[in-house]
Amino acid sequence: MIRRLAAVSGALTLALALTACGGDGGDEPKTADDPYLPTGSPSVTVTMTSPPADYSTVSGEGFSISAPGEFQQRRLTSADGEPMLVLEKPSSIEAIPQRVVVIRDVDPQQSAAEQSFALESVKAAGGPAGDAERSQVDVPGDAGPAFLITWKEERPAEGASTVQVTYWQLMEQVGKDLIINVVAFAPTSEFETSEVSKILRTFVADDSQVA
Amino acid sequence: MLGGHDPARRRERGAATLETTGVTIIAAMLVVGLIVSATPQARIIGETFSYYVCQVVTLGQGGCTPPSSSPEAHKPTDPCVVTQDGVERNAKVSVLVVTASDGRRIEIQRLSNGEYRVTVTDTGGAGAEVGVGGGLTVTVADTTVGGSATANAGASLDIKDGDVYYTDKDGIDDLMNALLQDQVKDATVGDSGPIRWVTDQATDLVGIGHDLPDPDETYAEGGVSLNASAQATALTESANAGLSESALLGVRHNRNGSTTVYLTTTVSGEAGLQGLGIDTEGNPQFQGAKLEGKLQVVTAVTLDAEGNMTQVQATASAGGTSTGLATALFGGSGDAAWTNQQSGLHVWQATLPIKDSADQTTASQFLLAQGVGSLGAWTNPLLGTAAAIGTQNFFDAVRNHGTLTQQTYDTNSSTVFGVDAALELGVEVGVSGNVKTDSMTTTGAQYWDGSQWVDWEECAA
Repeated sequence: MIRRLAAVSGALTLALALTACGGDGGDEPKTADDPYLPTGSPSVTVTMTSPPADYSTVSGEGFSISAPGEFQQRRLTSADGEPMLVLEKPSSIEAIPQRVVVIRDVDPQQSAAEQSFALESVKAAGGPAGDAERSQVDVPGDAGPAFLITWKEERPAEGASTVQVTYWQLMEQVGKDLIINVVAFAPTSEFETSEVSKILRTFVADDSQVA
Repeated sequence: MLGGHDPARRRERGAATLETTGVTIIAAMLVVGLIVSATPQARIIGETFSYYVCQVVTLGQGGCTPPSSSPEAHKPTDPCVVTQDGVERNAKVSVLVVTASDGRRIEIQRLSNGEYRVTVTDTGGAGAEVGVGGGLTVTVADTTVGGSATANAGASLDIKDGDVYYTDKDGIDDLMNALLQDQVKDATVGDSGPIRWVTDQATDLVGIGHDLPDPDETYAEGGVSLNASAQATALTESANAGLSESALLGVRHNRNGSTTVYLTTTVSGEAGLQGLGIDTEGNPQFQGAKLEGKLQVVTAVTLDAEGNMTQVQATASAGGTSTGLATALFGGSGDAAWTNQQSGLHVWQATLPIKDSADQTTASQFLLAQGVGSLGAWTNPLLGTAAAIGTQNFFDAVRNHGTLTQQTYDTNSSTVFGVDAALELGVEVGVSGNVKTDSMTTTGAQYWDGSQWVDWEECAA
């Protein structure tokens, strides 16, 4: 019994020592309420970026994003009645443009961590060919966390033919009552040379209202 | 020509033998068919007879319908929920400091096979949520509970996020001890990190540690964000009249590496049924009737670790005006007592295991009818084709060699009560928000045995 108590005492001392030198704990395992956070390492590390000089900044409700001039801008209303921004230009396949869409998720029932977990799971369910990945991304300001989910899937093109499309979706928890999604996609054959992923990386949430 | 044997004649002799054999088989089966036609197995034998006659006549090249399986083979093997009790953590572990009213919830269900299903979730949930099988729950009337908690007041199918553990009677104590201990630690020192590690080691050393096993299933839900890419791709509503566009509801990770994706579609009135390809005119029960109401159908698609589809399951919960829709879609019950039931929850579930290419085609047609073109790397092979909508084929296949069930539930959640959070958090004694107990009981259960609805004894209360 004495040995056990001594062991407990030693363990607690160790705990205090670890706490004292823990700092921000950047490499520390994720804590509390985050069973849905990413655990693996993404094949590519994506960082948010400042817009290039030839990009124009577009403001929406609670965010800004930048795009080159050839991308047409449309402001629509999403299925749940929220304002939705669409930036797009034609691709080599008429049915699948190069497109970036910003969609607001107001009063979400589930967190961005859980919804991004669910999205990654759905896109990975069809097998490894979907290349589904998810990573946590550092975003400017106090908002977050933010998650980037990337995958590929077939979409109908013309007639009975399909075309592979590459998707990137940024899911940022701006506050408890708001998640903002940025969905960027283009035919896989031209995704790398398109600007859609760069446009996504210029997204900045307005976190001034974050509680 | 040595021996005088003509190869052509030899081939003809073989052909004659085959024809003779075919005729003999047909004749023999006719005799056998006549002998057994009056037995209880007559239907299956008849189907088997027809199948083999078709195979012989078409030399195996025709579209012969295989015989359905025996009545016993249609009996559901998955356990069903017969009772349920839920207790929220902030009442159970009242010494904890909780920071929100929606404390983590542990829900214990006793299943028909004697096992316990323990669900641990962080979401508080509103109203009475009851498990109905297939990983789904029914949320009754939002926050309205008790006597008015009937399907008429509104019921929606949902999944409940969190971890699920299965254990038997011998294991339930250890599991609950591990869960409660784990949650005590979660609330006091977090669920990971160095402090948690030390605390785990310390409790193990003093002999009070209980290892929390890996969950058997993990669920996650989604909403607008989960469906954002579909909306960004389509930009416009493209649903058929009376049929909502299929939306992702959530996902389940299973311990065997498979994943189940849940999709939800709303069927509105007869137009919705026709959008799904159901011709209600062909059903005598509803001839000339105008079907009204709305029916939520949840489709659960299970894919193995390689992305192969292994099962498709459709579930609907209905009551009142939507009962007719559900009955038309799922085949309904010939039992007037079931058909006319207007109160309580009524849940139908149709499960088709994917065993061959015919099942794959049937499942693909069913999913296409709901606008499902892909699930990640799984691409609907009928995408972009002019394939006929085949929802009726799906239910025919389920009746033939799948599992079709219907259950009714009596919900009794009148024990929900609120604890006034008069105590400030600064007092830190931990009880805040609502304390709820839910309960529900199956009042009736039936399954389709291949030719008729029969009572599902194990799932009746």
